[in-house]
Amino acid sequence: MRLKALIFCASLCLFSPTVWAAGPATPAADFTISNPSHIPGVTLEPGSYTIHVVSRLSDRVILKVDSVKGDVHSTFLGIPNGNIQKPSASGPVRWANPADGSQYLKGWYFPGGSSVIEFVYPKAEAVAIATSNPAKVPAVDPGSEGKVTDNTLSQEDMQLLTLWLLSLEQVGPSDAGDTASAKPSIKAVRYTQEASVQKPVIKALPHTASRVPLVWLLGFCSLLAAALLRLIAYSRMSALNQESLLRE
Amino acid sequence: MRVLGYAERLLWTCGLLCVGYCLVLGVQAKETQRLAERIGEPLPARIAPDAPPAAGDVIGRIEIPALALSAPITADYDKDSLHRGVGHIPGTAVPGGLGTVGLAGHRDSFFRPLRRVAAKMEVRLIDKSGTYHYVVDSTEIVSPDKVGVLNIASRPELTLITCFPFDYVGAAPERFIVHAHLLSASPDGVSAIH
Repeated sequence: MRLKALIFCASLCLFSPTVWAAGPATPAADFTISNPSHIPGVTLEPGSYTIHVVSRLSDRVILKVDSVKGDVHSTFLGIPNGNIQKPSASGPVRWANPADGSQYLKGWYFPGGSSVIEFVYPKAEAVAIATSNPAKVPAVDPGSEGKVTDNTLSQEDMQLLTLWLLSLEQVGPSDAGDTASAKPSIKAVRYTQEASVQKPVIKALPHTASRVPLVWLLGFCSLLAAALLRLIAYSRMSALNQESLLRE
Repeated sequence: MRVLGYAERLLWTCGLLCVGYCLVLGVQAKETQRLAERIGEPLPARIAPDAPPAAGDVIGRIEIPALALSAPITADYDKDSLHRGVGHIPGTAVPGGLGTVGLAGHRDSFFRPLRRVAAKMEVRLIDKSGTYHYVVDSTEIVSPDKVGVLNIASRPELTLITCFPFDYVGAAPERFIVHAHLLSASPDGVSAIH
């Protein structure tokens, strides 16, 4: 009975399409480029490189590109995107239009993979790509989550970064009710909102009442009281002077 | 008579010290405002774009044209920073960033006009990368422990925080929150890649 169960489980694993379609857990590929190309955070000069998946997480993968010369070691995020048409052969997928005159890689298709892994760009680069390509561009903004630049992010940080999709849409003043002057802008929406517990950035909302009005009031009252005392003293003095004059 | 004389001198001293303290803070705030107004202006050619700003802790400026509100944004929200401007809450998004920008300000100085804020008003955040436009969605009054107002939402947002009630004397028990959302992740008139 146990043997039958084992055989059943093994056959399930063997014929499960997802297991085969996903390919190896950490696929790798060598590639050569002849023109400068951008990947998230880095410009690859013509030369030979390797790309491999460092880690697979629930909604994202961590990728690493190393140059054969050893001068480039870049780690960045990618998201499996089944909507991108798979190329005929494994290799890079490029954005249709260059951004700011530069060629950006859209993603990578690993041999035997079920989908193209789309690269997640830092905000400024993603804005440039979204401006010249009619598509949703995956983006991260580590600086807005209290983190430093992508190249120095740890894998733990990469797991926690919020993913966004940037696209060129009419999101200008039309949102404020003025449809006539609407202009194309870069709209940002959160990629996925998984039920994760967000760590609060502060323990309590700031206390924002200054003591300046009280200090000002205290100073004003003090000056007023001092002036009053001076007036009293002056009137007393003048009364005494008058009294002494009368006596004389 | 002698006692009254001492009391008078004490009151003069106390009054002048208080007024002097307020004037010093006022001058500091004006200076910070002046620095903040320079942010966003084109740099002279001889200054490298990566050169640090004159005042390292002033990171930008907030403007709400409908309320005639214009205040510097400082890098932190400690006591000193809040005297000189509106404080950015570290760990929240930077102006125009993908996330929720958290700004706190004194209800009796820079954020005093917020009592008249209304939905659909425009809020501008200006930093060295350009000008970002937000539109006010709503306001709410919460207790100080409700830090969830700074959580990242489904779109980039801005949360303005000040104490409430506005006319309360002393440490106000509640917080007045303004929620706004970002119109475009790309700043005005500046290339996307800096």
